[in-house]
Amino acid sequence: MGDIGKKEENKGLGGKNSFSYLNEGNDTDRDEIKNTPYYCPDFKENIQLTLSHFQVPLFPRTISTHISKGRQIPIHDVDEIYHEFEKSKFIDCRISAFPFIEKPVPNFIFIDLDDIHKNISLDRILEITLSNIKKRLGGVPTVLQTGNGYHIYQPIDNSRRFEEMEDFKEFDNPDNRFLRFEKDYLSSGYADKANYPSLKSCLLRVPGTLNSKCLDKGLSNGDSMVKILQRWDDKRPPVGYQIGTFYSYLISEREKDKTRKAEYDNLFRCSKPKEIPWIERLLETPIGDHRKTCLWHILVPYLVNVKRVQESEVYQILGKWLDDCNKERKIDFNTKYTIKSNLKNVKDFLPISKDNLQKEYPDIYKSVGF
Amino acid sequence: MKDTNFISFLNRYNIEGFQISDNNFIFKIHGHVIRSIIDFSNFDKSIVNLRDNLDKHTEDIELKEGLVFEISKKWPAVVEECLPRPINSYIEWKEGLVSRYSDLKQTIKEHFPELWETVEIELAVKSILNVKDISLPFACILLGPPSSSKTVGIELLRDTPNTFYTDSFSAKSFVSHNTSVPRDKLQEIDLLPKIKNNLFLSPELSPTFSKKDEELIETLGILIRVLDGKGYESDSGAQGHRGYTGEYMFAWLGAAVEISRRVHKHLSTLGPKLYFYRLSKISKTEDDYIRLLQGENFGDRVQKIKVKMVEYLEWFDRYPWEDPPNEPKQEEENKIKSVVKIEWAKERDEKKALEYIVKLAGLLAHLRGTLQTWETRDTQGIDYAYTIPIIEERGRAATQLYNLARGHALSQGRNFIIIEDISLVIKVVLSTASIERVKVFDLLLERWGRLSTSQITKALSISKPTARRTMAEFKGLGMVSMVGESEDDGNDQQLFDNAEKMMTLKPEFGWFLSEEFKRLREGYELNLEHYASNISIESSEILVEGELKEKTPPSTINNDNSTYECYYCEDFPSTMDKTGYQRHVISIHPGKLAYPSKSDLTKNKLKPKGKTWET
Repeated sequence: MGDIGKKEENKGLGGKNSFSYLNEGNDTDRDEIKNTPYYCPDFKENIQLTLSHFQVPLFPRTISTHISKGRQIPIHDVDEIYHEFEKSKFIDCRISAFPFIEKPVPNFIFIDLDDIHKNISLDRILEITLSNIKKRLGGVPTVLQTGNGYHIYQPIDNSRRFEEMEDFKEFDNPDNRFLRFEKDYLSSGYADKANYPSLKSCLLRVPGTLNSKCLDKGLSNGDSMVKILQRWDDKRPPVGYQIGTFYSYLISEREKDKTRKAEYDNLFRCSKPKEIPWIERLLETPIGDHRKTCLWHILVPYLVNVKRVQESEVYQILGKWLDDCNKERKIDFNTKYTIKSNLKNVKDFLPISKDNLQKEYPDIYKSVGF
Repeated sequence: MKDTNFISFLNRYNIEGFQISDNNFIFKIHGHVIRSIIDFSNFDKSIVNLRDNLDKHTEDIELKEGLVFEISKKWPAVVEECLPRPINSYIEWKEGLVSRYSDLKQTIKEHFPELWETVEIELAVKSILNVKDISLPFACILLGPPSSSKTVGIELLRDTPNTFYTDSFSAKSFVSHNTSVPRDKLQEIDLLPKIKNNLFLSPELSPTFSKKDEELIETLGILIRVLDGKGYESDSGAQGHRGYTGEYMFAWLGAAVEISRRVHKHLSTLGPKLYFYRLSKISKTEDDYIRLLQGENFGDRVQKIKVKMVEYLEWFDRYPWEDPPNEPKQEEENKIKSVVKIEWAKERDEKKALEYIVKLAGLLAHLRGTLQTWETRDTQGIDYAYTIPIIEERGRAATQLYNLARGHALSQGRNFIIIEDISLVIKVVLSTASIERVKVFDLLLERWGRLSTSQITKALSISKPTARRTMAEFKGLGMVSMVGESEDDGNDQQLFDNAEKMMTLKPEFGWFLSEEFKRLREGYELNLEHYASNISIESSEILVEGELKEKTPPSTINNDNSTYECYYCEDFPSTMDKTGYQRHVISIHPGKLAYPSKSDLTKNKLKPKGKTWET
């Protein structure tokens, strides 16, 4: 942490509960700090800076904070944002990349880089990503240091949804897929896999706010603060700079899907109905917890796709099992409806494997008597 | 793929000369010619190649993305235009093959009619390689006078996939012991690995079969061993022990003017593993030859046939098989393309056709048997005695003739044989025995199975002693019975002089006198106007079951002893071939289950078949 860090200390930033954003002027020379992670001393400036990445309409838009526990709150102006952030003591404050309107346009790329890769440093990943953005889009994005990694904000110039474009109509959900494809493509696959941006949920951390994950680790407010490492160049590369690459990706995925489906279909069609002893054992074992999980992940896929029993028989078998389970602990859901809904959605899913059951649901694993 | 939008895009970005050639996108940007390799089976790879090539020559992002976008949009058209559409079902493949077979035949009949019989046998021999469970090599030598188009036929297959062509070779070249080549390089010159899984083409074998006896025996000895399909190993003082073991399947198509009697003699001693096909005599009038001279030149006619041949072979190789190639590494090393292997539906073979093959194998065994005869003048009988004949056990010949019939069937897209496949087998059997014996046999057939010495002398222009020796030979081979002067033979008796002898074809060869045999023979060589029939011979069923087995047949049958029957159609016969059954359901009944449970049967109103999975 450089001088700014020290200044932050002087401002009394020093603990999750004692933090307050001081809305006062700061005379620090911007040029002096441009290569050092920083945030704008006037917090509203940080909000404005975040909003500057977006095309109109800016509002209504949603935000989320630490106290909203990730739930998105619709807001209508900067003051409202500030007010909500302040209520949350500026912890985990995020603004949606897309307006809260019926059909937002995918005109923003968000890339989340985390330090989770063993063979490559986070800084190297950032370098690769920025180089890709420069090469493929000619763009210079905003880079935030979030405490755990980097967030990259790259606005693009786009006024139409892909689903409205003739060439993309044949594809399923092209707008959200664009956001997800770009994050992976531009980061050469290093972007956080758990991050799954969509037009409805793409929340951006705001510079000058605190990252609760860092605070939880016991880091200081200064080290937990989201800072600007690089500000974007105010140029929006046209969406046409990625249109070919994105389109070829969609074509490729569609072909792979076809192959996967055909392979799976043949595999399924050429398998004989069979019994899996441990699932048969589970059907004879009433359990007090995880009944819904068992139905969805194990029993319904098993009876339909492995043992291939008739639907009426599925109701009968599972009804009996749930009755027995009810004696262990009262069931608080509508059993018939749950079975029906599972049957409707089971498609060609297969039951969870024994190994995954042990890893993901050790309680159920024990119940079956392994 | 060049529609108006694409052309205007190319113009907008000054992309010149866009074309697809030799599996490459070729175009010019800013004066640079860009060639980008297309992998028609891998869209991603092709686009990555294109983008990488574009990156090397331009920084214009809009141009690069635009071209990637346009080509991605056109990809199905690119594939359609440049790559043959994959064939998804056996039925589609079969229909396409039959149509191309017929096109080829039509073209040959139009431009070179006498070539068809050569091509027919060539395709049959070539297709033996494509039957999945055949591991016994098949060698067929075309025999015919010079300029009888046998070489033209072989040339048609030259340079096509899975063939190895040579004008001349020595038997020792199968496994070389050449001292001037380092031992580690010998493998590169050995012939045996080169012909493995290939059709071996050798258009001139006359010199090979005209060698001195000692050399000929050595040559035939090696050929016979190689034709066992188990490789070949040999030792020499120079290179020590060298050779190859394992499955060495191949098919051999050679040509020669004639095979001398001594070759037949040696072959019958060493093992009768060579099969021959004697081309029919060309009957053309002077007018025919004049028309030939006035018509298209030879090269153009052959070229037209070659085009159709390539179309046929390419379609054949597009059979929708899923099995991985055998020993891919070795094949890759030898630059040999894997051969399409097609499952045989034995259960669909016509029983009658199998019976005829067994009869023909029996005839061939007798016709190419070995025995010595010597004169015993002034004794009773036909004045000639003979040794105990060596007659091959007919099992192996039956297997080889069956394989040939299978090759013939498969060349027309069938994986089962029918009666019509027997015609070719008959011609091969009559060609494989020595010409002298076949002539006498034909004469026997012509005379309803009864033949006298004077009839032989007259018909074959040979002396009475030679005719009597021939009769002794046939008797010794167990094909005929002699009717002696003391045996009353009705009114015919008065026709003969004192030395006149008569032989009659034994009842077990009665089928060859029948109308059916005559029909299947398709007038090959002889024009019989009279025939005898209604001579029954004992059933050959036991032989059909017991002897038509490949020497070491690779198992294609599932071990669980289940039989598989299609739930959805009547066309698929009950089989033990699990893979074949699954392939049938997947390709012919999309979306249907191969192993329906009890509930599936009820749900889909299917008839239960009592299978274990119907629970």
